[in-house]
Amino acid sequence: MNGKELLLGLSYISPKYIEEAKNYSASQKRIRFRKPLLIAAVIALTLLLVGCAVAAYARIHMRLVQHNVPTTAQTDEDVSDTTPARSVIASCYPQQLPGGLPSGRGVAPESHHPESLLPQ
Amino acid sequence: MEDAKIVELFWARNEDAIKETDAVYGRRLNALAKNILQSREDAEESVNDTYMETWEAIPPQRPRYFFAFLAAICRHLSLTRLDWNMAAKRKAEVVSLTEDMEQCIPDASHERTMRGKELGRILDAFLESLPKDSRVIFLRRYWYVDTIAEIARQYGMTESKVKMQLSRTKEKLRIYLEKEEIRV
Repeated sequence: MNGKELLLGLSYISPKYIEEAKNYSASQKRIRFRKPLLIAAVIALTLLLVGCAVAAYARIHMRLVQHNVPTTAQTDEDVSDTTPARSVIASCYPQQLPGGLPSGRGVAPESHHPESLLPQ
Repeated sequence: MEDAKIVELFWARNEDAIKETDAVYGRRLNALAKNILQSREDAEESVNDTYMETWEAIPPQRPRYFFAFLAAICRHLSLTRLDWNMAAKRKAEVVSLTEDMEQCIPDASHERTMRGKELGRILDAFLESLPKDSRVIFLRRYWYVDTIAEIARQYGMTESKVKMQLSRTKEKLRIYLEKEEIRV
C-alpha cells in the first residue's frame, strides 16, 4: 500500500461522512464561536463610551460649580438682582481691601479731586 | 429538486434526471473535479462521465446519500483520469496529499495490497473515532482536496491551526493503521 492507494481508498468510506463534511456549515461554527465575542465587544464599547461621557460631564460640571457659574440655561428674569452671580475675576480679586486702607472706588485723592483745582 | 425525486427520475429512465442532477450538484462536482485535475476542461469531462456512470448505476442502486454517491464517483474518476507524472511536474495539490498520506502508512503495510472496500472499512472505523471537527477538516482536505487556505477561511481558523489539526489527525491515522495491521 502507498500514499496514492490510501488516497484512493478514501473513495470507499461511508457516504455519511462525505455528506457530513459537505453539510457541516462553516458559518455555523464561526457564528457559534464569534457571536458571543461580538456581543461582548459591543457591550464593552458601549460601557466605555458611557463611562467616558459621564467622566467628561462630571469634570465640566465640577469646574462650573467651583466657579459658581449657573450650570443650567437661565434667562435674565431668572437671575435675581439681589444675588448677582460672582464672576470668576471677582472671586479671584476681592474688591474689599484690608482694614485701614481706603477703598479707591469713587474716592479720588484730595489733591487729584477736580474740585480742589477750582479757585477757592 | 429533492434528491429522492431525482433518484426516481433515474429509476424511471427519464433523461431529465441528468439535467436536474447537474442543476443541483453540477457546481459542486465541477469544483471537486477541478481541485483534483487542475483543469476546467478535464473537470467538465469528469463530471459528464460521472453522470453517465450514475445513469448506469441507478437502477439497480438506490443511493441514500445521493450527493455522496455522485461525489464518490466523480472523485474516483478524476483521480483515475489524473496524469500523475504531469501532476508531479506541476506540483499539483493532489500530489502533496499523496505524500501526506504516505507518511500515515506504517512500514509493515507497504508490502501489503489492500482492496478498496477493505481499506474503506478500516478508514470508516478510524473516522468514527475522531471528533467531528477533526473528521470534517480531514475530509475537506483529503477527500474534497480543499486547500489549507480554503479550509481556514471556511471554518474561521488560522492556517497554522488547520495544519496542526491535520498533522495530529495524520499521526492518529498512522497509529491506527499500525494497530490494524496486527488485527487484519
